[in-house]
Amino acid sequence: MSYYPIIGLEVHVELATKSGMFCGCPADSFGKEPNTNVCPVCLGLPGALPVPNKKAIEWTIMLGLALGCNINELSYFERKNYFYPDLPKGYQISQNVKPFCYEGKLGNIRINNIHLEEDTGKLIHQGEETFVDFNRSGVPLVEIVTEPDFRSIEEVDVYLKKLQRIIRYLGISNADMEKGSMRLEPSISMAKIKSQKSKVKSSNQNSKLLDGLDLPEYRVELKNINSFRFCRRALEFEIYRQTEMLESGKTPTQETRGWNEIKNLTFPQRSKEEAHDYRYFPEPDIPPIRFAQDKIEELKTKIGELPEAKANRFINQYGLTEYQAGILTEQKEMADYYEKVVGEMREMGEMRVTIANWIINKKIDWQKEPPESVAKKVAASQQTVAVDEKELEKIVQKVLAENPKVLEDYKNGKTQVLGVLIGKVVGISGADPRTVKTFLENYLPKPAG
Amino acid sequence: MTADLKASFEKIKKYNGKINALITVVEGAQPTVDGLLSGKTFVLKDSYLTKGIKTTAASNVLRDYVGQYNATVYQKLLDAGATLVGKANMDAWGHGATNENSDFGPVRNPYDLTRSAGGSGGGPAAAVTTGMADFGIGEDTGGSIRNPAAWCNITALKVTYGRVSRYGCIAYASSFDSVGPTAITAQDCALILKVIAGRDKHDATSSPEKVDDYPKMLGNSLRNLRLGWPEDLFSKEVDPEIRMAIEEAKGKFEKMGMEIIPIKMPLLFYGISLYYVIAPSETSSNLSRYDGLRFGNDRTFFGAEAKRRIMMGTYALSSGYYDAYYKKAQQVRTLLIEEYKKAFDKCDVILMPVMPCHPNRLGEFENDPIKNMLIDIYTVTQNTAGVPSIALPCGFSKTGLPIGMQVVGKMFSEGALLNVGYQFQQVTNWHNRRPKI
Amino acid sequence: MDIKHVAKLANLTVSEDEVKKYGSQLSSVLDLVNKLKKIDTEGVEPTYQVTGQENCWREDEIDTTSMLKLDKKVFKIPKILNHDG
Repeated sequence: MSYYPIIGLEVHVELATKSGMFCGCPADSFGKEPNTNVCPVCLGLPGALPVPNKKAIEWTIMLGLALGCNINELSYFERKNYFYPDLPKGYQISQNVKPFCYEGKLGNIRINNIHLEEDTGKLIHQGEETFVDFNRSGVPLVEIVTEPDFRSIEEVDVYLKKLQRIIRYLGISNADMEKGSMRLEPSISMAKIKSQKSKVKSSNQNSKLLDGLDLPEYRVELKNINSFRFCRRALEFEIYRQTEMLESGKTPTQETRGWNEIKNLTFPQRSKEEAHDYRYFPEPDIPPIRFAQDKIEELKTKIGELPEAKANRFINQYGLTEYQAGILTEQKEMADYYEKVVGEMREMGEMRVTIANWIINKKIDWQKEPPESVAKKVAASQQTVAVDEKELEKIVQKVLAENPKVLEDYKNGKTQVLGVLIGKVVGISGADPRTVKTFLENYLPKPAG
Repeated sequence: MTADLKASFEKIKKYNGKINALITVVEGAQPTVDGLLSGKTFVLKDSYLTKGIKTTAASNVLRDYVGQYNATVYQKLLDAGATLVGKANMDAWGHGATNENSDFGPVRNPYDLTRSAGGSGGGPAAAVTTGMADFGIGEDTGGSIRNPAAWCNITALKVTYGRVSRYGCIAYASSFDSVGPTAITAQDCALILKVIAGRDKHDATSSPEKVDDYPKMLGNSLRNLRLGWPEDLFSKEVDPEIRMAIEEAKGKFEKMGMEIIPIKMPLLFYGISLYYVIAPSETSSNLSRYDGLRFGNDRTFFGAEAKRRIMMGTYALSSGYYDAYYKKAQQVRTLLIEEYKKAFDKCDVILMPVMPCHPNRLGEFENDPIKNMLIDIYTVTQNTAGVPSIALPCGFSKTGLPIGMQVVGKMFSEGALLNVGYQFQQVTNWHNRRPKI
Repeated sequence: MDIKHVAKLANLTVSEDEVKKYGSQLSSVLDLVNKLKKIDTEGVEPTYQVTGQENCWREDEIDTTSMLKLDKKVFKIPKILNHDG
């Protein structure tokens, strides 16, 4: 019998707004003494009222748009009622029925919804005693909830890295697991292969065709995971633990388990004899939010080029490999830097690959050295050789034969790919790029348009 | 306005022991600024946060809690030059109609000390009618400012929802709570409202609607204004003396040129059922923050009525019951709002009773909390719909117990209501008959 | 109404006496409230708040004027079990 993991992911991201989700306290309390970054609202004092942060809402919608979500024209906040010492009001203002974003996709993982809520205080354990620090209470928190579409830990890894990169590109959070501005809560069950496809309704999974897998009757939520590495380890542990149980005829308990990084295992956390009854109801203190189509279009323009689109453009425009483009677009700042250097060397398109390699291989420190100086160095490093025209023509014909698509593109009017050809010719011949450029421009058929 | 600071403290000293209107007396003269209310004294229902001064909501949970910031309405009054002289007794958390649910003892009616002053804001009403202060700020969720006004013979305004900021007002039912003035006359109320109304950046539900110059709106003739008369409200439930007093008032309005329009509002009778789903639901959530961790005492200090309402609300919101109770009630709410809208197509204001009965003897409803709930019957629907209403003295029983009536208007029609009250008080004298303690 | 269950959800302690007393009182409240069943609400949208307003929000700005200087800055809570495993 084979068991396959059915994994869903809830990711919480602290938004890098200046102020709180519902109050004007600074959102950043780094280095502050406990309970000094508080006001009546985030401390949950009698009579306090929440007023939502417009920027936090806009950023949430932008994230939704970047992940291909539908945006609810009318959405509202709801109260999620439960008691816990780090929750000052005894309810968390969150969303339920009408989140800002729903039904998106990242890769082949479906996103159920993206909603906005407020962070809780932090519990601090000192020996036998526990204290609460409310500095963090009220910080805007975006939650991205997927369908249980992951079928391997590798998929989880890929998704997390992509998601983190997009969030950083949008500039809405530094999404740093170590600093706690990105938190993970995977949920995992193991499903058996069934002989025929089945569509089953269940209270703990979405009713979805599970590709020929028997729908599990339980789900385990994992908490206290502080890094992508621990996420991987915790899921590995759970796959092992659950498979073992299932193979011996037992069904794993539906529960929340914490990850113990020292002992390298998961352990039951809150014993859930019954699931929380959150008694959600619309937040009466905050009227609904309406984002009409024109406002959404406005936000779309603020998104800018996303990592995947940028990487693809780098491959096509600069002739880079997938690997090179991937590294360069890992951080938006590095990608922008690369393009600045290339911009400095407008005439010498063939250097684009060289520039990429210098940055990737850390030949220069892109965070310290200004683009113009790097451009000069790259130019100087090229040693050119005089090549006679007949030799050059042979090399050009070889390159054109090996790169028919590039030639097609050029003929169809995409003249920027000339740089790719120049680069290859120079690479083989060692000739002066300017000479090669002039030669190619005369040799090649006139581009369309 | 009739009292100044010295007179206030004299009256407090003389009467508070007898009627228990104030939980905290704010001693000593305070420096004041020049403003519209300079020289005036006021009390706040003890659900308003006052920095440095105890704010208890009349509950043992907050028995010794000192406010850590100022409610917006309080700050506005201070900025207008008024002086706070006391924090007034109330039904704990606003839960009640007779001020007998206070953990600080009941408020006695100044017109008959064996009877209730009304609730939940019995304290402010009793304080104002005995001259302890020029005016009071109450809070009306289902009648809490109008009921005591009727039973203590003063004027009170339940404002349009969102007209006055709720920031710093301990929440009872968030979508019902209305912050409003209570004083001897409608004219007094008009001036106070001018000071306290308006948008507040701390309250997302406060209205951006322009604040009228309410005092300037007094004095317009009532001629041809249409007065809705919901005959079916006067079921056999209403005490005949109360009915008679209100009919007499109707006659006065007619004499002043108002056109009487009979209307029917059948959904009004479901108001109580609706109210006792939504209000407890919202309060069950609003009271979750009282866990004794950051301030106050823990949840074992809640009184019986608070516990009952929290449980009722928790039940109505719980899984499996939400649709049948909470959602259903909010659907009926939509229908009730429609009913008010339809009524206001036919008339400009509606005349209604406030209380169906005279002030009860203290302890009369002790074993029957339902009876206590049912006397809210005429005052809960205005909060549900968000519309304003002014409570006005309109007579006395033969045993000398005050009788009040209310005039209900469309949203943001406070100016018209205050004017109706003002004009009524030009041709009657009920509001000037002070209690003989 | 299952008083014990509801009290637990509401984080309230109730004695056996109270369970009986509140049980019967709340049962009467439910009778009162169940009158709503008589009203046909098919297709009626619920009203959750009456402001008629939308987009009541604030700009992302720090406001230090409401911040508190607490006397008591240390909030100790009863021991939380199982946080370490």
